[in-house]
Amino acid sequence: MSGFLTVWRHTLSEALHRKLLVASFGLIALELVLVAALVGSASGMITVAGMLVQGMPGGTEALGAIFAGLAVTFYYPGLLLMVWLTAGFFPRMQERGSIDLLLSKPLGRFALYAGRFAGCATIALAASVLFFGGNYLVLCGKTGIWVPAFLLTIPASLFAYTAFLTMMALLAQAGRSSVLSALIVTGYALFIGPLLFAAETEIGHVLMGESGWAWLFALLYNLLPQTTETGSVLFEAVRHGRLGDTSALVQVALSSLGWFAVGAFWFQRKDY
Amino acid sequence: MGEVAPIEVRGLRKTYGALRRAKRVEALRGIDLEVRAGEIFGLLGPNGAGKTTLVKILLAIARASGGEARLLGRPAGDPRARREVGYLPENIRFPDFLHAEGALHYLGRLSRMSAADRSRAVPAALEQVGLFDRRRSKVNTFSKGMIQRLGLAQALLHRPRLVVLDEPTDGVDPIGRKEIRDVLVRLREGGATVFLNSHLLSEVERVCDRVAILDRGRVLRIGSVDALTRRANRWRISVEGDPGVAAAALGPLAAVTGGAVEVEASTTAALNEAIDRLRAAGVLLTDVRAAATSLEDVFLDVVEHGREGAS
Repeated sequence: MSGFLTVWRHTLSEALHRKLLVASFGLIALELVLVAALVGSASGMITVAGMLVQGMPGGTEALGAIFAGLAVTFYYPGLLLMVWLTAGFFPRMQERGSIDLLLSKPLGRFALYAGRFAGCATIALAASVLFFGGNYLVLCGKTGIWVPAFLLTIPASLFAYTAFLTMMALLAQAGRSSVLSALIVTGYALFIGPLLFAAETEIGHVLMGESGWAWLFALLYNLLPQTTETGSVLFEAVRHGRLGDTSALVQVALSSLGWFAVGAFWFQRKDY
Repeated sequence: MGEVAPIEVRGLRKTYGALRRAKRVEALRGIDLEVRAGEIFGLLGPNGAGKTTLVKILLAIARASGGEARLLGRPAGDPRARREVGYLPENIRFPDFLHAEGALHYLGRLSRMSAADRSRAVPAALEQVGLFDRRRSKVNTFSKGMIQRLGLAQALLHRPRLVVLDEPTDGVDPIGRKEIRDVLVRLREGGATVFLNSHLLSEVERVCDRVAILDRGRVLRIGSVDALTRRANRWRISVEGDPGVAAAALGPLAAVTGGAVEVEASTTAALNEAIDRLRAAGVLLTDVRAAATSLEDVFLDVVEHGREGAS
């Protein structure tokens, strides 16, 4: 356990010393200032980018939908920010001369892998709290309407992030390139995930017809974490204040666990 | 019961790319080796001989394909075996954002040292390698030689019983090399065992008690430096005056080399007979010793013969 904690602590310390991370936190602060400037309220009238929101027909429900939309709008950039911030941690650990030194210490390889993983997840949590928590305070503070469900973006993004992290940790062992692993995960989040999701919808089934590739799409859809669906789950949760269908969350959890196990097993067996 | 050998290797094999025949490389082909407690043991071999692979298997950085490797009496993959081992890898990399002291504290924690132990050991280790004045400097401002010294400091930090060093003097200036050699000798005097992997034969010759010569995954020769460099049945006799006169007195079995006479004598009686002949010829003797060759010559000879035998 002490080895795990040492590696976890070291990962956090490393993050604090990286200029990129500090700069990203600065960017988040700038974004918050921008949001604060865009969202205004005067005389009890709420506007977003100059458009009147309060007083629309549907009242509270419309506001819930707006906040849910905002949550999802912030969700994906926030998620990708976390991915790019932490993409270098696993490749750096596995650089020649560094990994030799770590493996020669009296700690198990799993503790090393899990400690690094937990460190990255903690950094992502900090970025998530700052980004989503900050936007929540600005949005709600400026409008005077407090929608606590918006804060579900924090656990939701962390949940989806850990799914991506399992993929990045695995990719780092194959290529040891932080940029490549971040690009692949970004590609998955923006294109492949939505494509697999689309292929599984009724429209997708109609479009695919009897295509010979349908089985491959179905296989990948079930094997890879269904992170695209977490956005929909988040939208519904913020809008209605409760979790709806959680099957996608269960799939993401199981898939991530599987990828984590594959990554840890590979790390355990690999020659350096 | 005798003391456990710090390193014990039996029939150790390592094959890379085992799944694809065309890419298969046999890095180790059944190595047997034993390093005794309290000695400085040198591992020699040309590039690709399998030296680093052997070190990596011992420290569980790579996995063996067959055979057995034991470290301080435990299987090499057991993390408990590494508690009392210090390791300086080739091309060591420290977390570049840390300063020297911070790097040692981090690595000390990984070696399961308590905070109290570290606060005592870290300044001492930095002092030992001459980096105490740079303890607050960032590692990324260090030269190659300073990185090597810091690497040595982290290897010695937790007072290990076994120290494994992979090219420890790489990039270090001559004064630094001498200091590192002195550290190794002090370690031996303190009872630690040192396993040294180096391609600098002169370094090895100066500090090692025993060496193994490896080539193409096989141990070609193993023994003490004295035994390996001693030339069988050859004696070196130093004389006053012209050694050519002495050589002529001894006949065809003698030759002049490096200002002395070298003579072949398979027994003590034969050696004494040669000495008697010299004295009878009026030659004054100043020194008689077993003829030796340099470790470099032995190394080249062993590797060349090993390759001829293999082809």
